[in-house]
Amino acid sequence: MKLAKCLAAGLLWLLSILFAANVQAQDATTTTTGCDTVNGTQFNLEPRPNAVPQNSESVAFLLNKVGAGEDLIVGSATEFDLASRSRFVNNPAAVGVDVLNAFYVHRSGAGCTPNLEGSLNQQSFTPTFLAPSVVADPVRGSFALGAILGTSGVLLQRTTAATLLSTTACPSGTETILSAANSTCWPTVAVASFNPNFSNNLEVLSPQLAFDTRASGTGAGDLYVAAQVLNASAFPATSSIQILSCSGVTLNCSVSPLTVSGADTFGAHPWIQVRQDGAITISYWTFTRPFGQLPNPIDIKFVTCKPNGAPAVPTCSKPLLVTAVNVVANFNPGDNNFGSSLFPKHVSRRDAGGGFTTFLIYDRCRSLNPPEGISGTVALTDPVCTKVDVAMTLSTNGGTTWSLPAPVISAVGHQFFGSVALDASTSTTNIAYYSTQNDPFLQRSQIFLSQILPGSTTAEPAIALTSASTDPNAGIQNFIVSSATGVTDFGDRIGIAAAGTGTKGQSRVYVHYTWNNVFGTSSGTQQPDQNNTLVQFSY
Amino acid sequence: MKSLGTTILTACVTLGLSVSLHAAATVHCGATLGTRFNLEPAASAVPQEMESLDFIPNRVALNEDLVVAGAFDSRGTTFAQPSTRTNWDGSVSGYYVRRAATTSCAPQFEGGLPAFTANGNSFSSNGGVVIAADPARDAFFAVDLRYSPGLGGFSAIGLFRASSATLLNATLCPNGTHTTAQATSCWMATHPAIIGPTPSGGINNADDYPSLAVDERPTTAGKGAGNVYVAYVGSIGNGIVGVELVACTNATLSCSKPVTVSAVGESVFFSGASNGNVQVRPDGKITVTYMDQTSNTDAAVELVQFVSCTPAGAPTAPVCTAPTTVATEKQSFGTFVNNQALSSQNMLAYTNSRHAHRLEADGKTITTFVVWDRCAEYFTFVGGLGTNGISLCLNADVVMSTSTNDGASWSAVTGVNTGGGHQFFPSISTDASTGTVNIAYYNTGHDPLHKRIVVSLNQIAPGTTTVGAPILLTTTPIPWDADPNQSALPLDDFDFHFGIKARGMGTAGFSRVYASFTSTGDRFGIYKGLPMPEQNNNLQEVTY
Repeated sequence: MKLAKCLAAGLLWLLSILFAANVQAQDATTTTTGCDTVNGTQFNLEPRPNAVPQNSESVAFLLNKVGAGEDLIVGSATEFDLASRSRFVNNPAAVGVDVLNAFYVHRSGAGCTPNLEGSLNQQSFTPTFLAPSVVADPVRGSFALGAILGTSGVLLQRTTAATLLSTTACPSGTETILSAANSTCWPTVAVASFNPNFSNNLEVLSPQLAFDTRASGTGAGDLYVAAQVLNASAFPATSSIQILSCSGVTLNCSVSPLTVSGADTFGAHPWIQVRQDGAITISYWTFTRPFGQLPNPIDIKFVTCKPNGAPAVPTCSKPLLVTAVNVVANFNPGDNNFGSSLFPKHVSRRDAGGGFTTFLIYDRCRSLNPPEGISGTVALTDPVCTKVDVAMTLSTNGGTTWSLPAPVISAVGHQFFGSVALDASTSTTNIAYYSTQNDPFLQRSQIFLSQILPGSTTAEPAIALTSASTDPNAGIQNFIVSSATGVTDFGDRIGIAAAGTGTKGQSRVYVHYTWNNVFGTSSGTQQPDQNNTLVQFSY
Repeated sequence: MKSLGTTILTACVTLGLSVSLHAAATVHCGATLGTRFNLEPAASAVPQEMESLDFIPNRVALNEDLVVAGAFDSRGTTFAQPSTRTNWDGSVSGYYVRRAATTSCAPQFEGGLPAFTANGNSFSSNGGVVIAADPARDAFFAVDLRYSPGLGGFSAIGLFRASSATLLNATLCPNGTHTTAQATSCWMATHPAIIGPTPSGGINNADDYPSLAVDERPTTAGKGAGNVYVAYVGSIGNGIVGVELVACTNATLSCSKPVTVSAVGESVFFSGASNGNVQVRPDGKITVTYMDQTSNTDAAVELVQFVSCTPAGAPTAPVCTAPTTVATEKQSFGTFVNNQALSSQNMLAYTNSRHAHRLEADGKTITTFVVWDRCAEYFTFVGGLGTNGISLCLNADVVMSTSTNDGASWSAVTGVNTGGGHQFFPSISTDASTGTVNIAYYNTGHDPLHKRIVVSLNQIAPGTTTVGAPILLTTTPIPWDADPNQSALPLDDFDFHFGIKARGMGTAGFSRVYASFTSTGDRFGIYKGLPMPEQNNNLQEVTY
């Protein structure tokens, strides 16, 4: 009897060992099965008590870098803090320091949940502001992350896939700005200065990054940084679009930026991309009259630049007119209590003939509905727009001429925060956006994806990436930050990235966006909480 | 609003089965949203809000009620589009009347309470409409806020009377949207009264938040029978804001001077809103409840106050007791931070009280029910308290207290609905025919994000003070902020009340509750040629 018990116990132990080994083997080979498709997957590790908002996302990934079918994903977002008590600051002496940006990394496991997160490397406690941007270079296996530093520069940091996959250099969990991991995880740090003379009158806004992901050629591997530079010393204020080129490895950047917006008096919201032939392209919008005048029609402009090899700045064309916009640049999508802006973005697709088709999208307000009693006396900051759609125009001649802008999809409700990414492996253009089309009240948004297939210039029928919808105005985020004004801040963008192997079914697109459906806990009461959220689509 | 055949059949069944006074509740004006209760065209439609209503049962026909509602109607404001203003008389004090025996709950006519002259000054409308019916004398009354530019500006209360016969008269009150002349013929057969004219000079010198009640007893029932009572918040001198009460005659609207019913020398509010709510007990006593902000340093603490008055026969003012305290509410809510009181509800909202009375089966005892909304949980983590100590409320509840001795003592505060999300803006009405107390309120608990609103109703059965299970007057949660005219003006959204009235025949199945509330779900307005949700005053009828 004792022997039987002993044998049984031994068998059980053996089975348990085998079972455990099998589980470990399964863990090691688990492939990414995609994010949640109802709401997407919350892409941060923030505890629920006293949760703070995240918005204005960006995303980049390296295909199959973790394993077959499993990608290394880096997201970035504005992450607000509560009365300067960011969860990324664990030093009481640093209380009072604003930390307004963060990165989030998925590097293992099924689904899309992040494994680590942290803030940009700002150990000097100089504040970084809003809307960080992340890009990837698959040829060199690297990521770059950038955000406004102070008022006159862009803090850049670079890491490699190998580093991000190292649990020593980048431990799982939440990295604080004083932790060693904050330096080891993003070891290369530099400042791209758009204000080399340190003028107090200049302010850097809306930085954007782009890698030249070619393997060779002048500029290959370089990192380009575009920003809006506001000059408050002039009256009325002026604003220009400027770019810098940096070494993609050392982050050694141009000493002085290059202004690419020519004589435009108020360029804003730049977007920068690098074509597959190494040409740098920039789009932005500009007022056509001095800032402050009403009405003030807007032009969307496009610039093409030839690389000269960082840190030398590129050589750029004069800005070319894409289209004129006769409605304001900032507006509320219908009855929502947050602002959207037209924010042009573009990608250039190499066509079969060797030329490029550039697709440019922007949030377009068709008409405003300002109450008469108000509009007659003051200019509304964010007037009510009765219909917002994501408009698209295209050029096949380097931006010399453009097609008539048309909606990416024809749908009721509002489509906004359009973002675009090219999957160069299949020449598929991916356009993601919020759409309120399925809400009876045209308020609650789903994430949609419209794809333009290779050789085509029209979007396929839109795909809903989230079956649920979210309400931008739900929750308490308009109270939760110390400078809250009661107006909802839903950010000004969502992130999208696409890549593949060139084989059907092996391409993936990730959309990183703002979503309120995961609740936080405040004073013991559950409230909708704004979270950066990730969804994946394979094709 | 049901067919005659149905009525007769129901009556026969009721009598045959000898059922109780209480039948299962049935909604009649569209279960999902109710029915839009105005005739506004969709093009450039503007909001209606702050509803009130009353009705006279069977006044149109057997089981067909004469229903009169009021609301603030933005067609009378300057921001209304010219096309919207074309067929409207410029008044913001809207009235909406259903008088036809049709299956629809929609009104047949509407208009704005007209401007009129009193004491040599012209008084125009300023919103705040409240409606009360007097079945015994077959008339309806309306009060609203009035403004006169004379002498640098007067704030006042206007009191109107229209007989049911007039409201049913298609010549005096034609179908459709009334012109000024039609509004005048409909509501001015009895010259309106001006109550409490006060030289305007800031918030503490303006009359506000009028409330209206009629002593519905037969004219021969005793002193005060048929009198009309108006309570309002107004200046009582020296910059002090008090609650005033006025008694008016029924037929001629001859009114007493205001009597201050709030505590002598005490200001009832320092910021926000504190509206008096007047009711008449079955024995003719007049009662007023109001919220008393006790100090200007911590407005979160408010006293729910109750005053009982003895009628003296209008136009002589009633004689009132000193206020007694129903409850000390330490967690009121108010719009003090970023124009918002309740999470996810960027609109004006303040804790306010309402009350109703019920005559018990012994024929003597009168139970008084006071309801109010309060904050169960504040957001205080970092945002901190706002001015006057009130912060954002994360979870509002509706609560109540009762008294059976004319306010001398009050029961412990109990919940009417303390569920998830916000329950707010309670209204209460007793169906005297059955003794059923009805409490309706906005409720965000049915929206997973606790933002969109349904209208819920709880009933208290005769002889008890136990709150029954909630009944949904609307089932589709609607967003408060769906109207494009509201986004830029969050201060102009829903106000802090909506209308409810219950009356019946004393037989199960023949009692009804009408509610008039704000909704954005009925139809889309057309703005610059494009459809968008718009805000309306809606109507729901429940029979039980």
